[in-house]
Amino acid sequence: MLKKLIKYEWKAVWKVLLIINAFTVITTIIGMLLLRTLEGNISEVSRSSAILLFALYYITIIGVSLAMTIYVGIRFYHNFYTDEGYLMHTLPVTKRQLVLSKLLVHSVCEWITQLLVMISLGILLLPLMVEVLEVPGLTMSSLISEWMDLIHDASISLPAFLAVTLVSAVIGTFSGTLAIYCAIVLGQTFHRHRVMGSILCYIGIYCLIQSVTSVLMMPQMLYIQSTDFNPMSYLTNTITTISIASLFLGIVWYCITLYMMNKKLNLE
Amino acid sequence: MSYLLETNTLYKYYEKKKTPALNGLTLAIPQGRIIGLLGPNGSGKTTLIKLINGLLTPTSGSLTINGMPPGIESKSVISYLPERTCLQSSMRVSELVAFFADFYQDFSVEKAYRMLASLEIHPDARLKTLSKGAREKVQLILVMSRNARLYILDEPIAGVDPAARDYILKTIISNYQEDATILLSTHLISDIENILDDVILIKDGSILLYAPAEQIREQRGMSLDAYFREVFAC
Repeated sequence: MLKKLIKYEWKAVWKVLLIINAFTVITTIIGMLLLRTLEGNISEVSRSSAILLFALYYITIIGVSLAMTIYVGIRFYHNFYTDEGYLMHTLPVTKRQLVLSKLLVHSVCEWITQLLVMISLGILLLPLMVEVLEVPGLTMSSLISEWMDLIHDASISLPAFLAVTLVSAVIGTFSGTLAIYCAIVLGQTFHRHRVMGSILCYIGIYCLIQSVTSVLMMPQMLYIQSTDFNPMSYLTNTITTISIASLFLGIVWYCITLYMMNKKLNLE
Repeated sequence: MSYLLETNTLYKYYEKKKTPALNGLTLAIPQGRIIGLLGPNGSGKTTLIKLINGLLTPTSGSLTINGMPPGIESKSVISYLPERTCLQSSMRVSELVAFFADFYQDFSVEKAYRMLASLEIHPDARLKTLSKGAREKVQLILVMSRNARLYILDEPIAGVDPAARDYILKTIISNYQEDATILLSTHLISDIENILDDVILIKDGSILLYAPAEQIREQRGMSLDAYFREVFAC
């Protein structure tokens, strides 16, 4: 049944995924075309234009990431807690299967969105800084060699670093998506204004995540001031710490979501 | 005697309301009956139906369907028609048929398409392009295309014209197994009283009367509709 739920969820969301990510692709293409016109033409005007382009691009990218996250929340709410919930909650499937189907599909949507954003950043922002804005001492080869040196100094292999980053991204997305679900199910316990209740719960959850992360990051803050500070080690340790916190909190959000759907469902 | 549906001192309180929506309701429904769940608005009909379907959590008391509490097993034997359109409006009718066929083993695709054809509803049409009446009919067709043990129909004829009511009632009567039970909630009694085997009158969350329809008519010397008006006169 889980496969069937995933199939129908994917069918329901893929068009929205396509539209949202089309913004990233189109913005990137426009940015690349503008970048070409700026190359070799570094006047003050073109420099200002490049900064403006950078700002607009940044807003679009933030907007795209935010749009996907908001859509995931709306989809979960609409499918389970509005009229559609009368069908979804009467299907002969477990609540666990309902939540997992949404979680897997929505996480894939988030990953695709984030991946495209990162690719876009890579192909647009680096050339913008290096070739157009001409940041002093910054070339593509210098960036890459400096990065490789940092990895070498941090005693971590490139595949290991990439693996840590990838696992962190996976856990982070799962946990972030579950936090949205958790806020929505908690919002349903409000007598009135349940959507507003969900938003308030999300703000509360967000504050909790920030607090837990800050406490766990304290040793890292001390490490910054130490004499043997290495940015790559700092980055790896930070990613690992945040991943562990995300994993723990993700399990908490998942348990709350399932409990509320199993024991406290009230479609009024 | 084993019952298809049993409730025992079932209570349901909604938050911030002092009076219960269901007030210690005890009920046992056998199989093979068409039962009218009748009562005025706010009497607890929909609350009971939602509890049976697992859409609400009872405050206290127990409820079993086929001997089991609401869950996967009960959902696979109940075919539920809610009072509102619960289908995704962006889906095509054919996709909805496939959806039901995928999730309900007792769903008959052939029966669904036959009923759709009789109503001239094109399978390629998206639900959102259909009229309100047509959308309700699609939903009813999907529900009645199952060979369920218990059909729960919440206000299936409310808000539709008399001709559509006839079609809906005809569809209900001609598409269920003899050993299945239909629990039909409505306050439009005159339209359905001829098809009912039994009647449950519900008031303020309690059972006022549960008796065969014919017995009520004979003992009271009036139609169910007239009796309903007498009992629930304001």
